[in-house]
Amino acid sequence: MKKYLVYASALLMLGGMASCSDDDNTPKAVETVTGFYTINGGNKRGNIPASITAYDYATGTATDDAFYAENGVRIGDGAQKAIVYGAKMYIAMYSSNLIWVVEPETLKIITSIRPEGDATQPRALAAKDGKVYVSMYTGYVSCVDTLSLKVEKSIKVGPNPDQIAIAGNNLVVANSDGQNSNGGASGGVKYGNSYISIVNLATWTEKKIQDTRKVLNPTDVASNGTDAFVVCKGDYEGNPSVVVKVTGNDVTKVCDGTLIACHNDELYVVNAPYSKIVPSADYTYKVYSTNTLNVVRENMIQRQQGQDSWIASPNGVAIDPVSGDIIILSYFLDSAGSSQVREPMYGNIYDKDGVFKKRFTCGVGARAVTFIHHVVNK
Amino acid sequence: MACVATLPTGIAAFASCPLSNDKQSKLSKKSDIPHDRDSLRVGEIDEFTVIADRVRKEVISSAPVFNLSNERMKTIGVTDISDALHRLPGLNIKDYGGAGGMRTVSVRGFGANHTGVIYDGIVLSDCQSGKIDLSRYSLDNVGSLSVTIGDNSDIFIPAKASASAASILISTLSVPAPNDSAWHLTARFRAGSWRFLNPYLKVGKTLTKNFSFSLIGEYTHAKNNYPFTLYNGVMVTRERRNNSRMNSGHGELNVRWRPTQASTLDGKVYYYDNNRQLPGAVVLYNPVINERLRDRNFFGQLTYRNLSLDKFSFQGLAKFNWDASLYHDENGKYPGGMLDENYYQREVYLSGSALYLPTDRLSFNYSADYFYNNLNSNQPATVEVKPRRHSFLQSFTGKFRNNWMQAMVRLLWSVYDNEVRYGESAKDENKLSPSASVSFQPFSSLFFIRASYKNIFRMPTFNDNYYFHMGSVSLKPEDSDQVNLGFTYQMPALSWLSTAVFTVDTYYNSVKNKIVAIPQNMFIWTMMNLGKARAFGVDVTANATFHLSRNQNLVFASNYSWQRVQPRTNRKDPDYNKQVAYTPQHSGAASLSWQNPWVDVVFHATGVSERYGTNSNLPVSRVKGYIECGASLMRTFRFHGHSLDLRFDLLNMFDKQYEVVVDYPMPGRSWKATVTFEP
Repeated sequence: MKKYLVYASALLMLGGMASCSDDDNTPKAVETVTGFYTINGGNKRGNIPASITAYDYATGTATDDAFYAENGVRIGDGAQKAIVYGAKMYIAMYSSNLIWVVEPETLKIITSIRPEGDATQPRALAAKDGKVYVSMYTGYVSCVDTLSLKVEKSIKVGPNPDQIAIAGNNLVVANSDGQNSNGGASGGVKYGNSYISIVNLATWTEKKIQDTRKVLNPTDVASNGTDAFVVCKGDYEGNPSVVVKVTGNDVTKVCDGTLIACHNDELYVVNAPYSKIVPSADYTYKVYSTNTLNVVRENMIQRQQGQDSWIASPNGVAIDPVSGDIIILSYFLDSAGSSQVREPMYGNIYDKDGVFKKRFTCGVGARAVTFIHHVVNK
Repeated sequence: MACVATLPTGIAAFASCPLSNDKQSKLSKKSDIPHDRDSLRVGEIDEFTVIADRVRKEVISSAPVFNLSNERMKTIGVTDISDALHRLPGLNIKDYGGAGGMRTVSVRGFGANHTGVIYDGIVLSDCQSGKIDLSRYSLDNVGSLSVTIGDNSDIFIPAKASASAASILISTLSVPAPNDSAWHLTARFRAGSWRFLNPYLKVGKTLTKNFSFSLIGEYTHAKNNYPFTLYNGVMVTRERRNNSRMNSGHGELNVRWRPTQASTLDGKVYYYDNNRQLPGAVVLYNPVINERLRDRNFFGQLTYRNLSLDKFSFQGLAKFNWDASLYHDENGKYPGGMLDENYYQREVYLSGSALYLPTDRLSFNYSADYFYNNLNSNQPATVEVKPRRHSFLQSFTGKFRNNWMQAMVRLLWSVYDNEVRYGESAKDENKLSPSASVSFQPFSSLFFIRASYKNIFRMPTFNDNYYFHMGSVSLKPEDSDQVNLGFTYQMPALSWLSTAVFTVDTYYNSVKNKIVAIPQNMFIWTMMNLGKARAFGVDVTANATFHLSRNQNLVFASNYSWQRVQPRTNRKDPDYNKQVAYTPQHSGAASLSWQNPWVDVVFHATGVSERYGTNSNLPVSRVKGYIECGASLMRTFRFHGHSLDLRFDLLNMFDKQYEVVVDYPMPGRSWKATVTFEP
């Protein structure tokens, strides 16, 4: 199938859509955001392809299936996460085993990167100093050079790495051990081989934070550039999902939580527990200080049951890096109160103080938000 | 038996036509059978009586029964078991494509685990998933294939055989008749596209007057790497299925011992082994797949029938079944780079039935069944439950018939006891399930009206109860009610029209406490008794044989189904009253066969309308409908008492690209050639 990736790229080139490759000067901190994308995993069994929904701030509208509309081909299977870095956007495709490189504004395909060898099945991305780091579910982190758009090197990390984030000169990797959910590979401890990797980007070496009493099934990582926070989902049974802060070679528990986002010195935590069935009224949305780990705001958002400002079944949280707007993705519920995983979802936008602004619909399986950065040279 | 006597001879032709020359002899033999005797009382049940019996059932049955005999399947150009099922109305076949693809059947909107599959009188079981993969059963040795919706009008059956909403009955070709001491040999070789090779050998003989046997061996190899067209927006590419090879073998020993004139003991030893690669769902941009599955199944069964007493008949059966499902995948994401999931299940099954015929018009049956199922796996102790289930089923059936009507009432009492080695066991259950049916001939013997009602349930499967993280031990059974009203009309024979039979059935089914997997969130799914659904529809069949000349016939066969299967859990849900996922509203098949002394020619087509991948019928999840056409050429040569049968099949002749299950493309145009030699 490789051949038609080439074909796809060739087709786009022929159409005069070749992209420039003059980017990747280290981006300035000054930026504007014109909108965002939601990355939607779709539902393979329900014959719903993965997609991207584009939300434009200027018009306040969400456009479904933006990748397909732009490129005329499907994004593939198992869309996970995307980042905008420099003048390019990178999209991690888990099942399709692919990293799309596209233009951030339009989603026009520039090229694609096919992970090969042992390090395959891209899961999440992070970028620094002209490199994009990609976690590979087969147990690696690969480093992609943004000029050559090739995998430069890969480092072995723990089993089933999921999300990653950069903190200082390190890459923090959540090795979920997700394929060991029954504990068969760890003497009966479910997710018993999971741990957090701290990969030193300068020396390209790994340190482990391994203690299943503190770190069990880590999956999500958020960082403000210096501090990293990890969601350890637990075993969906007795051990709840918790948020920990990476502190040197150890972790410090912050609180119970299932979804996180970082913005400056604030940590946004949604706690919608997995281990037991909790009504959405009991979900908590709190903001913590990344330094003191104390609660700064009890209510990240102002929500009212029965209104659009309510979140039924949160599946993702993201903070606009410029405005501080809060975006929360959610499933709709059916009459029995269960999440409708084969139906389109919705996202709510709140301002930085948590005041509800708008609801938009997004594709099936929306799981991540990618902001469209514009680097402005001032 | 009165009913059979009233049937015009044309009806016999319906089930076992064609009336081509080489088959005439068989049919004339058949007419020698004393029709006025109940087939059950006939001491030596030979093949022909059985055929006659089946014909009778199909036409006057009080519940819908659709039957395809071996001969009939040949006549209408049936190519494999999946094709055969398409030629029966009301069935929705899930087909993963190719020689190795799994095939399950759901009938009239009930889920596949409401369909019982009965192999030579004994219900097959899968306690783990509740679904029987019909791709295991090749048509080579199938004497007849039929679907019964509701209750079969044959009441002399084990209790378990009446415990499903619908049943697929597979009857294999039996051992040679008692007075036939010749060796019977069938050697068949079939080859087809993508390295499909299938040798088959059957040997049978009556050794002493009282003892006959047959031995069957079969092997299938298929590379199965068929090409398909992948539509990805503006990009249309030609791909191949890969990792699709299969090697499968099947052996069977059948024995029949007749200790007395009116009693038989039938034994069967069966082994099946299928080692196949799984091509998986098509994933865009990534063809890498390493999955493999090996299915192994062994069973031995004994059936004893005694019909010697004047008013009583007895039947006893025993079966032991062992089944292994060995799944293997290789991928760096697994601990150690590979995943092995092995499941083993066993069943011990005992049944006794008594038939009491106090008068010519009345019959009563009592059957008591016990079966024990267990399941274990190679999974770690954290998730291994080792469930087992004791099941006690008793059925009591009364049937009345005279020369213009038949009525039947049945009560089934089921008791299920669940146990586990580790953890918590599922709820025990006991239930009483009534059913009733009636059929009559209001005007003439050519017109039958039938009406039936059946209340039945399905127990949660072991997967429903115990599957890691998902299963729930508190599940109740899934309840169903079905009502059917239909008729059969047989046109009087004309000089140019030897048979024309039409059936129309309408139905209304409802399911309560539907067992569905409910996501609490992305990570936690739980099985719950939440769903409600209803199904209604119409099944139509039209079959006719046109007599062209002394030795030429045109045989037309068709079936059409319209069905609506609607989730009805809650009005507020987006799926309310939509069509259940993967269920077409329209489906059907038609064939036209020209029988002549030279080369028989058959054209056939099957089709289904569009379906959706989601219950709410999300437009993006739409799966296109399709019509697949095929043709068959057949000729039998006879010389010195030998017969050589040649057959060529062209499948999907217009190379239609379609999918039954999304992302499992079906093969395009292909061929199959079959040589059968019977010395």
